[in-house]
Amino acid sequence: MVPYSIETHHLSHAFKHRPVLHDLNLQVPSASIFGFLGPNGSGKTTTIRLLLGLIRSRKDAIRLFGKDSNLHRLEILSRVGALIESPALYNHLSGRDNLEVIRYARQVEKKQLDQVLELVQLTGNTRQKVREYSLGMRQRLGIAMALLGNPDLLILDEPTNGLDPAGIRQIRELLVELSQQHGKTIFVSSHLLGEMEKIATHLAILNEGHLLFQGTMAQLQHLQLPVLSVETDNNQLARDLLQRARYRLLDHGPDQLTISIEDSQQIGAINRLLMDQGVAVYALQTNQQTLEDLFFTLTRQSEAANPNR
Amino acid sequence: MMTLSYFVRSLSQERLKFKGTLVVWLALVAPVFVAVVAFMASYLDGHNLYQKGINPWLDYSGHILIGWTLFVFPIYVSLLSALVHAIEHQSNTWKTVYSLPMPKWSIYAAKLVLFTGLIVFSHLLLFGLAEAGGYLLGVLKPSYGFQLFSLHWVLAEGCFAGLLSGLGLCAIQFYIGLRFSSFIVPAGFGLMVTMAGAISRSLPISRFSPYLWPVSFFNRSIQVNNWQYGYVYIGMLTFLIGAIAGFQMISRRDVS
Repeated sequence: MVPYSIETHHLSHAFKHRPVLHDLNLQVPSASIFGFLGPNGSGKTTTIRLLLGLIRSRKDAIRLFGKDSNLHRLEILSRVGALIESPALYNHLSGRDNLEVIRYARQVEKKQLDQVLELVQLTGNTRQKVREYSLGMRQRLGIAMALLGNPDLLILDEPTNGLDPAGIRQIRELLVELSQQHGKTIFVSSHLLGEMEKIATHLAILNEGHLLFQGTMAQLQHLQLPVLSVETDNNQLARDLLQRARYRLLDHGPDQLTISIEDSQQIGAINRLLMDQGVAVYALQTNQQTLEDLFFTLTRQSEAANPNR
Repeated sequence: MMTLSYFVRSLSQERLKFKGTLVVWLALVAPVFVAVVAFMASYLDGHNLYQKGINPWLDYSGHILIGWTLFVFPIYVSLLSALVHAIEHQSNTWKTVYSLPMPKWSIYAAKLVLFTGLIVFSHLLLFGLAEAGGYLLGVLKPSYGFQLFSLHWVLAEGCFAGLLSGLGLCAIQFYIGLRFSSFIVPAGFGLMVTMAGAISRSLPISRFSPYLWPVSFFNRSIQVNNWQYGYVYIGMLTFLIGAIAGFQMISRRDVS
């Protein structure tokens, strides 16, 4: 098994001279659940289209299973199942017929249709036309289509879109099972940070086409500095004092005072600073920075470093 | 061997996608429409159309072939190209199609073969219905004399040559349908060019329109000696060029 199922080398892309992806170097370890995070418009779907060859890329910019995606297109695609944005389905056909179209391409046995339908719990009326499907049913069918042929790599673009909480949980469990018990590599793009936190073993964070972070969840958690919540009799004055003293304040709204700290000695220093300036401190509480906070910290740092971007 | 396997699987996919669409119905309705109109006109007005001792199949076949090639064939191909490509365009399923392990040439070839196959089928049906209609007229209206004559070979050759002369317009419509995601572009373009051709048919410039080549082939005559076989060759050549251009277009196109 190659160490990385997906590798990109200085991958960039522009739509009509408008750059949307900048020098992306991704390394997706085999058998991992790789969360590909970023806000809408950050370049996630473009990256996925490039990976699947739907958009042309330069030679050797993308390697899947260690092979150049331009030179080994068919061999690579036979090992990849994909769901890109909202599932593209033939609305005039039934769910089963949609799967049948995929089955012809992947040359799998007919019994696999029932297996994948069962996996995504879409075993009801599969003769029903897809145009009559709910959003959740369409999403399930899209995932079933990606699973057909037992691919080694699943590339799923926002797979839980349109699913209810029970459906989201079920898909989450399915992805974990596919990775842990069947050794599949799962590349999932999402803008739902909490969702990724629950399943991903590895993460990449993309913002405006730039890769801000790539690594394991543990590496990301190392970046998660503790935060201190402070309650005072005059939060506005306290905020000004802390900003002047160059503490990093997190934006949790005007009523809340949250500061990113590096060690516990800083808690004492903050307390002293406020007390010396006549601010009454009612409470000091430390918490771990959430992934969401970290995401915004990373994107803000990136924007601050490159204000002209 | 692998090449054949890809092509057969692509054909199976495309055939399945036609299920529940109007594509096959259109291929049936177009020739039925022409044959029924010609039959009804002959049945109701045959005493004015056919003279004793003259082969009635000449006029009858002429009405069918000219009616088909001048109007119905180009309009039918325009609608068919729009319908066939709407299957992928309307659901934006190109991204599904191209992320499957199938070569682009096999996907393209299967679509083109089925599209052309339906047009061939319509011509076979037209020939069969024309023959059946003439036979029925011989039974129902013996005074017209259909039972005394025949024109099998000329009718068959006319249908076949009309088809080959029209391959140019088929390739153009196939290309336009593939290139533009809106249903209205291939359908509207085909209708406009057909109408323009019918209006300007007598002008010398009209012979450059592929949409008029099938009717121009007959040279206003059902006499084989008058037929212009040059349109058959130019129709086939245009089909070849159009097919290659279509493949070039899809193999270079990004799916967004």
